[in-house]
Amino acid sequence: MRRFFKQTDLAQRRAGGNILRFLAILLALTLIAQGTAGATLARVVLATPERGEIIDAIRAQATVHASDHISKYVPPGLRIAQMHVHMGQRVGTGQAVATFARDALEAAYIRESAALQRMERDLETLLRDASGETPLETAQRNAQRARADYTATLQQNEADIAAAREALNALAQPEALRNHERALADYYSVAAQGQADIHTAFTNLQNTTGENDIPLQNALRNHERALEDYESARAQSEEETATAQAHYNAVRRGTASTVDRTATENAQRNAQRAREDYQSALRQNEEALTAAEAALLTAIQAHHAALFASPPNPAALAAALAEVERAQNAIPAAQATAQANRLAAARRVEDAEAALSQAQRGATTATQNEREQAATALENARARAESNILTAQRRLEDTQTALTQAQGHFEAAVAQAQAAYETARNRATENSQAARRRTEDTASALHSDAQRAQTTLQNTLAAAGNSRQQAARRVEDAEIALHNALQQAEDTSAHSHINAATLRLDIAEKQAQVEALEALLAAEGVLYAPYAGAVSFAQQTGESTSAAPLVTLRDTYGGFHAQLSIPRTQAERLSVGTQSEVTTGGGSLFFVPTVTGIVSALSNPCENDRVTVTISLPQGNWNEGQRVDAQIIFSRANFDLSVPVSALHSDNIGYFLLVVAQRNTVMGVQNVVHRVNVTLIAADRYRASVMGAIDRNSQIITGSNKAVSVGDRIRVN
Amino acid sequence: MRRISILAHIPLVGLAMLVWWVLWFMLMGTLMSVEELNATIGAALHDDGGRSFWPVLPAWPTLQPLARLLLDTPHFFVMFWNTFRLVVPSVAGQIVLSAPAAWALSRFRFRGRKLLITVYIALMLMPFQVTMVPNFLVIDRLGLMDNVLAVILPFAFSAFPVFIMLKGFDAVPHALLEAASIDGAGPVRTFLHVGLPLGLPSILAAMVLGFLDVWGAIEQPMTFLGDPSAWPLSLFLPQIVAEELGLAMAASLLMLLPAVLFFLFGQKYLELGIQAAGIKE
Repeated sequence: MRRFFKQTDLAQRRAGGNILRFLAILLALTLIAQGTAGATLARVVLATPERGEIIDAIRAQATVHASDHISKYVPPGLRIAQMHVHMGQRVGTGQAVATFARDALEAAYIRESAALQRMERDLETLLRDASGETPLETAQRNAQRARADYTATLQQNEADIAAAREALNALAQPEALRNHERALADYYSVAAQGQADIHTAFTNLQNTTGENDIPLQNALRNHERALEDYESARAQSEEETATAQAHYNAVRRGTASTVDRTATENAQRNAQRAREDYQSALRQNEEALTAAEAALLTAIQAHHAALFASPPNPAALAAALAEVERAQNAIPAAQATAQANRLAAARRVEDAEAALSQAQRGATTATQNEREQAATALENARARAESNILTAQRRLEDTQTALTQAQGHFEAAVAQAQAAYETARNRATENSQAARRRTEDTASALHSDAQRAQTTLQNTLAAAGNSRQQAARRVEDAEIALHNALQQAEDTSAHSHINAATLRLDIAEKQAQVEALEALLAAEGVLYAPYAGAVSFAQQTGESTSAAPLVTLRDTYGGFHAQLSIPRTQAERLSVGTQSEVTTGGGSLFFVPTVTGIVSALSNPCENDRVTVTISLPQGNWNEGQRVDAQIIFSRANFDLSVPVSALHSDNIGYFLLVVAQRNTVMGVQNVVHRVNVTLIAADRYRASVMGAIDRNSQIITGSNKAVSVGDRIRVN
Repeated sequence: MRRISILAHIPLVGLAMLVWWVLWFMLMGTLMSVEELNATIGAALHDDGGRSFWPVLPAWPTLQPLARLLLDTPHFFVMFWNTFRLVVPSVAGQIVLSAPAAWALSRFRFRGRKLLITVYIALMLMPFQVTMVPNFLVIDRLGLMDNVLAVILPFAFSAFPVFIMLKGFDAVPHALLEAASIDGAGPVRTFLHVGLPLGLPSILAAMVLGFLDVWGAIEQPMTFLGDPSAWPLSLFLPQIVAEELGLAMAASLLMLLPAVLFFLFGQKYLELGIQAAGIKE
């Protein structure tokens, strides 16, 4: 070890010294801590649960009073010449108590006698009845009259209401109602008729438009076709003329071969075109004729429809007839036009073919004849062209005229049908409005009369109600007055009886006073004690008597009672007859004088909510005013586990006991406080019976020198 | 040795603060009242929700927790001395039992030596939770339950001091041993007069480490000591509830002091021992 320390350096030695100092400080602190901890331990007083008696009782201090006392009264106004007794003195029966002055006694006798006589006279007067039933009879008469008025009012009201109802019913006459119904039916009929007329006119308008549209369309198509023909004819004519001119020129110039070939080709084309025109003209002719026939058929159908229309329409019928005539006239015209077209087209075909054959026969060298022929052909071509053009132009003009006519007819027919439609609509509207006005007029007339009658009835009902209410109010007032009159009559009668009874009592009392004064006068003014007893109160010599007792004697040979004051909540558990233990003072450690009394009376709660309990005491050596301890027991029971009340604690969880148990702690075996929750069964002032996890060996803390809580280490005192 | 510049101190100081912050935390907690502790870290302790924070300095410093611990907590001191009652025999047993074992393993060559060293190392590596059940069964069979020997004996026969001392004894020069042998010293005398003095650094290092190990041991006392009167200081803190946090802080500080003092005492030898363990001949 020495070698070890030789090997250590200064730092190490210092560190070692620090360790030793630290341990020394800790040792000192250990001693201090253990010393202070022991000093701060709470000292407790322990108890164990044991079998005990728990008395449910009320305990209080009581005062003893003598039960019987007799007060002697004498008439007031007597002067006491001599009082023979004093407070606390025991007197015997017949012993002189007081002597009164004779003059005062005589004066009192006279005075009381006069008062008695006066009272008797008043009684006689009171007993004399002054019957007056006038207010009651008046009230009865008024009530009868009010009831009669009420009945009459009801009857009158019923009659008025019946009359008003009759008037209302009379206003609701069948004629007015029928007029109104008729006007209503007329309105519906006119409205329906108007709608039907409007529908018919509209249908006619549609048909007219449809029917007249077909001829117009046909005329338009013819016109267009004629225009095409015109253009075609003009073009063809120009071409033919140009061809002929070219041939002529060629013949003149000697270039027939070329011209001939060209002319041949042109002639072929012209011939072909002429043939096509011819076919086209045939088709157009056929179409025009078909259209004219269709227009005729349509016109005939429209004429038939107008003829059989219901209601008949002359204007439509005339229009349909005119249309039929127009359609009939249009057919020949169409036929003539078709013929002319066909002929013109056929002529053109012949000319074109002739030109073609001529062109085909054409010589290489044109001669004079050929020139002349060419010239002739040229002139013929020009003439034909003019003719064709003229024909086409004429046809065009014809179709133009037909179109114009068709348009005019269409517009006229449509305008006519439109006018008929407008007329029908306006007429229907006017008729409907007129019928409606008539309906409103009849309804208004009916309504105003009914309203008048209804108003009358309502006014009658309101007036009847008011009159009935007023009559009922009068009846009610009369009955109330009758009731009050009856009450007043009864009160008057009862009051008289009460006064008489009161007066009789006063007379009896006065009579007793007079008799007492007579007795005193007979005894020379000396009052003797009627009973034996102790004087608890006595007036003094020279005083005058009053309503208060002259002397009070307590009967000490009777019973005593103890009186105590307890809170009302405790008194509610008491009843008369409950036993009570009364303990007087004195006695010894082993014997406490206790007697059993009976609760004889319970007063009403006074202002401080306390009740005075009176306990009758048995015979004994009692003194007036003696203080005793009274205990009124409700129940008395023995419990196996009872603890001192000081050991019982409570918190928001419930009741609990603080029990000491030895625990093995760091400091060794120590007494540690722990909590045991218990249920309180019964308790009195000293002990409490509990139920919980405790037994006869549990060490329960009943007291300590400082506050103790769960987990604290304690020291047992 | 090259001096470190001032700037290099800054990160070093920062790293040091990270380590010392816990100590400062505990020291300031010792000077805080219960009310201030509840206001600062009460939310974390009571799990009522809210935020916790730790001030650098206490707002209302007080010595009340320290005074209460030192003057009104006698069981703290009982447990403190109980700890010494465990530490001193354990450390002494380690020295008495481990030194010869380490000398034998270091100096003698015998069959199974390396296997034995391996076993020692394996035992040293095993945590208490692994050996707890076998220890419990052995101690219960020996009838040592609820006895301080149940904690002292396992520590005394610990393998870790053997390992530390083994490395220290390995550093003893053979020449000295041969010289002692020539001078007529036997194995025991060689151990006592040559081995122990020269191996003192490792022995003290083992002693310091053993002290720290036993001082902070909690599993062994909790498992083997049922009697609260024998409990060491490591079992004092678990008894403290959240309402006595100031007391816990003060107790932690006082519990730390002996370990620090003892470490300061043996620091030099601890460093030498570690150094010696790292040097191979």
